[in-house]
Amino acid sequence: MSAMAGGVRGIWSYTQDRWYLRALLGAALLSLILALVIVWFETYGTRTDQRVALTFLINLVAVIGFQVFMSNSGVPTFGHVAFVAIGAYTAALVTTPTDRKSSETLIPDAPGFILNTEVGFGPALVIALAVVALIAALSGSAIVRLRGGSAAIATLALLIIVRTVLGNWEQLTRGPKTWSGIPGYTTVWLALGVAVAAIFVARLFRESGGGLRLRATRTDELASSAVGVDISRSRFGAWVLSAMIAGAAGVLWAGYFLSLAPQDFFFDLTFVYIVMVIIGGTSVSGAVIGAGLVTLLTEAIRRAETQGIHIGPIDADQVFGLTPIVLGLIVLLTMILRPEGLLGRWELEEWPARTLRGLRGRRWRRSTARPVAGPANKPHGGGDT
Amino acid sequence: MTEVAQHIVNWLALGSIYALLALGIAVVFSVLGLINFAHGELVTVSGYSMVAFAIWGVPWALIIPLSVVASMIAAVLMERVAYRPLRGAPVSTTLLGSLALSIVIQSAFLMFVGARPESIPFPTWTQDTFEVGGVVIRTLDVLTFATTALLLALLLMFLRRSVRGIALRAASENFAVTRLMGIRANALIPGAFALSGLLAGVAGFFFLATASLVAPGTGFIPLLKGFIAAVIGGLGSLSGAVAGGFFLAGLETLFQATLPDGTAPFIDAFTFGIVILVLFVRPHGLRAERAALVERA
Repeated sequence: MSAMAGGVRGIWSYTQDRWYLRALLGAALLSLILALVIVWFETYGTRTDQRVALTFLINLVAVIGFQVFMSNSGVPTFGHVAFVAIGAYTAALVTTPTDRKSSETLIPDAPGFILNTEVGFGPALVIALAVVALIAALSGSAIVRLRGGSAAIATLALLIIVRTVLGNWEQLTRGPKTWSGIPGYTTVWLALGVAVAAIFVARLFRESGGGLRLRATRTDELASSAVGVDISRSRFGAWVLSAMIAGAAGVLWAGYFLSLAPQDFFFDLTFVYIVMVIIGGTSVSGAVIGAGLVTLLTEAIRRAETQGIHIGPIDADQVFGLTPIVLGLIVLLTMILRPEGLLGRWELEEWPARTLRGLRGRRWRRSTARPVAGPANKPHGGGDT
Repeated sequence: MTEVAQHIVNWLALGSIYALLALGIAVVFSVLGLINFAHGELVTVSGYSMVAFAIWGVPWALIIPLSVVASMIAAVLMERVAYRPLRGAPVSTTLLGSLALSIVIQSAFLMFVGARPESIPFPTWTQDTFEVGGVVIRTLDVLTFATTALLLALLLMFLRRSVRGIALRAASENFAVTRLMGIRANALIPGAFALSGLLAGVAGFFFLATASLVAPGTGFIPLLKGFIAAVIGGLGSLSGAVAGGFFLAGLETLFQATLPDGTAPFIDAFTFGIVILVLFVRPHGLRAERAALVERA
């Protein structure tokens, strides 16, 4: 049957049968929703709301970086915040005005070619992405060879290495001291542009052959390699691509917060990004929705914290540590009740139909019960249904 | 020469602590395929319990076993509350679940005890030193190594001779068949957690005795070292975990001794760089457990 003859339904299935159309259409829909939300905030929001919206966009780019590797490969990564940091520091190195850099308060001892460089956002982004890609390729060649939990721990080692180097390389990063004097090139529209670009890249990768192969390794390593997927190679591509997206988030970060400290890019930030990826689900839409929800939630808690909490016997003017507790509990609950996240592995435009169809067997225990060796089989008693 | 001997003493003491930590992580992993990110929090729990018992005036001869028991109880509780509902989920799910649990416990300490580090009033003998042929040795270091050796010997006997120990080893080979042999999962798994709590509690005492401080984030360093050691050794392999612990401590001691002064802050970067290199050459660690790789990868 001709695609056009079938009307709307025919056109829809025509696009869904071609990976690039499927990707472009989905990315366009998601970008449109994102843009509408941001425009709404810019028009009606307070200054604080607008600040939150911009921070959200920067975080969103980083989270999409996480999504490209973690959600498609199924390997948790703790290393991508290192790429955010490298992107941010590289951008800071090349955009900060020359005279500012050579002054005693910044990095007078740095090599000349760095001191004499002063570029705008565009070239800075290119340079930062090149640096990130190089480091990602070096670290990735080792990390993608690891399987299971070891891979996750190796990404953690990467985070610590980068944190240690940034925190001690006085000549180039001021070591543990704060770097300041970055020109503020990040506007909300620039961030929106980068976020939309990241969404398109992530969607195109996910639907492409490489993305499909990677997702196959996630579902079943043995079966996918049996049909000819080179696990390490497909992970390597995703690793470098995702690192570059995270690096772009770093460039935006530097141009918005204007000052950098190595301890900003460590475990706390990693945890927040991971929560965002997990809550939404493994799709690109899931990452966007997860990032949005977590931002709303942390913002609500932050506002509650500053005003104090007075509920019955709980009477505290200022509560510390509430945000991580709530985030941690949410992750645990998500893991237990809905391990695939809110959207599961579906994109926004696929989701309504899939949910209706899959209402009966939603939970993985029933829907994807596989004979896995180990305690996967029904546990003894323990109140488990 | 005395300097070399000094470094060897340091290496053995540090390696013992890392080996105990790695072993605790490996025991749980070998049975459940779970990478327990909250393992470091067991050290924190034992630290805070030491502070609490010391405030209540309990003598140190009792505080040490009690703090180990506290860590064991915490480990079993973790399993019951958080990990049992997650049983059977993929490795990445449980890994992130345990990360979340670790953050929840840390934040709970932050909220209810406070961010300020609490000092642990260790008895003065933990700081004693004696001299052998010009080498200054801390009594504590000797004790660390001796306790670890004793604990390893007991563990070996337990794993070889007792029914529970054999069941534990069987479960790390094939959990389903172990259950078919009549071993109850809900007895075996809490047992593995209790064992990991015991190891973390003992390691925690020696780890904390050096700094004498405990804070909500105390568990991070022991967790990290234990992890790295366990991964180097090949996750799931118990002997590998011990080897990995001494290997990691050896690297750190070596860098501490040989690197020029200016590079001291970069020791962690060098160590972890070597770790990634080791994994690059041997992706499955020094002593990989074949069952764990095929079935849980």
